[in-house]
Amino acid sequence: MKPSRSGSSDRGPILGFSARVVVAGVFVFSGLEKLVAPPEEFAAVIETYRLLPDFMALLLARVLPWLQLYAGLALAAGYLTRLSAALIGAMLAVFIGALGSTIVRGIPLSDCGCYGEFIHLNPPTAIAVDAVLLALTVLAARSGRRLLALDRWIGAPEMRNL
Amino acid sequence: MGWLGVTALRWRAHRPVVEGVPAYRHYGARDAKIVITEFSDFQCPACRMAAEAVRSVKARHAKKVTLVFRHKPLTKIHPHAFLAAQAAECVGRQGKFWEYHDLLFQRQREWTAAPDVKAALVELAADLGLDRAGMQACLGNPETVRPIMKDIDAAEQKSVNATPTFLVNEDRCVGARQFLTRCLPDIRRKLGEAE
Repeated sequence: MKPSRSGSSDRGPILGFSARVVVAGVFVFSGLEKLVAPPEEFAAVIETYRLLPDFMALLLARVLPWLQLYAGLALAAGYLTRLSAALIGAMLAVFIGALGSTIVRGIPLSDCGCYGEFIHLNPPTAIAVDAVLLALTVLAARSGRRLLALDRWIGAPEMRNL
Repeated sequence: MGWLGVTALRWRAHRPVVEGVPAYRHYGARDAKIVITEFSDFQCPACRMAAEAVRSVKARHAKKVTLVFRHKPLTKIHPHAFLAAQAAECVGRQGKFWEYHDLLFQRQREWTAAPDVKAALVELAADLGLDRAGMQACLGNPETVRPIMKDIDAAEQKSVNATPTFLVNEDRCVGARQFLTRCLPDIRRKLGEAE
């Protein structure tokens, strides 16, 4: 028996909500993990990518974890869902690019530094994880506002046309 | 709320380092205005690279700077780091800590790849003229563990998770690159101001 069109679309809100929770959870965890450690430690990880000047590494190490935390919290709450998903998607695209560049340039990274001290991933694994998260982020942006989202309750009119 | 939590956790990092580092792990001036505390791991490749910068500080600024070595063996990724720290304690008690420190980093690839790491560490000590049997006995003595554990506690209090971490008075540099590009120029500037 073929599933009906309406049957498959009924799962959309649940899938969108699940994607939102997973991506938001990863970003909140990742942001907090970096925030509880001294920023110089994350700056040292950024330096190993050899993409930014030294002063930018420390600046990014101070800013990025907050960005991850707040974007993750916004996505979890379903507040400005598409904007927060777009921000997270952009971050993931940059992470994938940066990780890919280390492989292309032959920079040996034993740990991507993505999740602080608790989870250590090498660049190929981190790219795979980020690609899955990016796909989930697209799903969250498309149908993440339809279930348990603040956007539905408070309107978020500026997002309706996105 | 998140900000409060993070601020509370950061507050931990600014409590003073635990006192009681053995004298043999100090180098340079006793009452210097600049104290560089290095948390390091003898099996860590990044620490090996930083050792060159440490040597430069010892050679050029020893009269105006105090250098303090503290153990932070990352045993999850460096299985021989704790044993090397114990060996360094044994040698330190016999007055050759810094020579052994340099030797451990210079020959890191050699002793970490040895089939019997303990024997390799004893041999390195013997190269400095120390007694092999004495080293073996010292490595088996639980007393050598205590100062290392004290340093690990101090590292935790200061939120030191990575090696090498340099605490230059209140400033922090993680890795040789930050030490060379940020901390060392700051040290030189402060020494210039003091002169």
